Amino acid sequence: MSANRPKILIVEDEYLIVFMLQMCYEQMGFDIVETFDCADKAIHFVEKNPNIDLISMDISLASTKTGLDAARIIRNSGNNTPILFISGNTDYQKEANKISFSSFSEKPIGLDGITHAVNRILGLSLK
Amino acid sequence: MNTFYSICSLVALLYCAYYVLVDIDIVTFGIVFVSGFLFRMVVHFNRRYLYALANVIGIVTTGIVVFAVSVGEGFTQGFVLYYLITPLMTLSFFSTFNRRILLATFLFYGFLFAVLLHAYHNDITNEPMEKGVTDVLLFNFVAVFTFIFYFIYNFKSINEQFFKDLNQQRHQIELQNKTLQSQNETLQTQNQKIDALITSLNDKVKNNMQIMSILGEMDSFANTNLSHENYTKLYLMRLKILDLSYKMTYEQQILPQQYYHYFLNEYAKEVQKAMHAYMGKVSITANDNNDLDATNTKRFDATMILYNEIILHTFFQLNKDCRFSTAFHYNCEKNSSSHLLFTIENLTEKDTLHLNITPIQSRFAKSQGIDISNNYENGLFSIQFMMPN
Repeated sequence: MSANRPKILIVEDEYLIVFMLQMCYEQMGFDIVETFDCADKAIHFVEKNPNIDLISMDISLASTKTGLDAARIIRNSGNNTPILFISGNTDYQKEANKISFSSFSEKPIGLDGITHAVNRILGLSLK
Repeated sequence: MNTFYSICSLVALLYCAYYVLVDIDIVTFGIVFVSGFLFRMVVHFNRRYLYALANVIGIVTTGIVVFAVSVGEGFTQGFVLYYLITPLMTLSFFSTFNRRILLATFLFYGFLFAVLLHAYHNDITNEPMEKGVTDVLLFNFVAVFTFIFYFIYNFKSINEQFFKDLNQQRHQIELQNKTLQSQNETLQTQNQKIDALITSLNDKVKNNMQIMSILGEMDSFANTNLSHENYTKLYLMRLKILDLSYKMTYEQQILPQQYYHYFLNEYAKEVQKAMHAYMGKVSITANDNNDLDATNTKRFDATMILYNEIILHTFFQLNKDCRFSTAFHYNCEKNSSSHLLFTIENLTEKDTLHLNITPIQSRFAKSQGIDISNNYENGLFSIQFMMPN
């Protein structure tokens, strides 16, 4: 793990997708700091490690809290880490767009799509 | 109950007819005729459950008949007629529970009406009061007030009975409400479970599509072979079609028309690129205005899948044998008789046979009532999709 590479946290409950996202983000030059399948663990981790560059978050998770709930809690704690929501359910898109420094991408999304979304969200956060 | 109304009307009619026969008078006859008609209307409206209307007509008609007979035939006759009709009317029009109170009310108002009529009769005609009428009036007065006091005395028990019945009905309604609430809660729970299941299934489907998508892309990175890359691209496009079809069928989304155009253009580009490697020049056009009707999702869904089938099928054949240098022109249009037509121009029969471009009778197409046939004539190969109207 290089200190210069941007850090990313993956929150996704489907381990095969986690595996693929890991490969994808590593190829894009990210360091995968941690992967979680539920919201609570992710919230706890972000509280302790606020210097993450990007959070890749599914919305339907293996917990009572959704990815949207987790994002709101993170934002309320004063953390403005960009969040990329990747979900198959477009019903959440409207709610996801209300969260600052966030972007919504619908599954299935290709590698190009992920790259584009990451660039867009990071560009947005830099502005 | 209708028979009872009819009997009442008939009795009233016969009673009036008697006076008409005794002393034929055109005015009286007219009144009797109209009254008879109105009484029949009461029966008619009662049969059609218009009770309020029937009651009003009945009461008004009774008043008119009594008034007319009183004026025409003398006060006593009118008064007797009133006594004959009123209880029948009361029994007929109102519920069993209220009839005693209403009977007393009718009698009371009848008494007042009779007194007023008598006074009017005396003022107008100056005829002396007929013999026995005073006794009848006195009897009426005593009877009415006896009735009233009796009913006031019994009102408590009537009231109690009324509230008892009311409470019983309320209890029954409450029981029914509880049953309905319980059924509603069960249905809501079932709906919630179904919604949760659908959401869960949606997640699974989308996750699996995501996995297939990334796997396909990763596979294309691993294999730099051009043919393999083309296969992978087509595989990914097919996945996109699946995603689109899934959206339309399960999520019931009406996607913007631009989305379809974008998607089809992307799809066409991919096929063009793939075919270009072997053939040099390819054009794929679609008549968007006529064909890509996003408002008709079923038809468009079918169109998308048929597009997929025909182009994919062709592509595989081209990959199998890449000796062709013919420029293909795919044209898609819909004529006035709702036929969707794909044509491939500049194609020899040999090429056609060699390409084996045969339409695929998919299960989906059949289920949508789409009939597919192909034809080769004068260098033009066409595949016709007979779309259901």
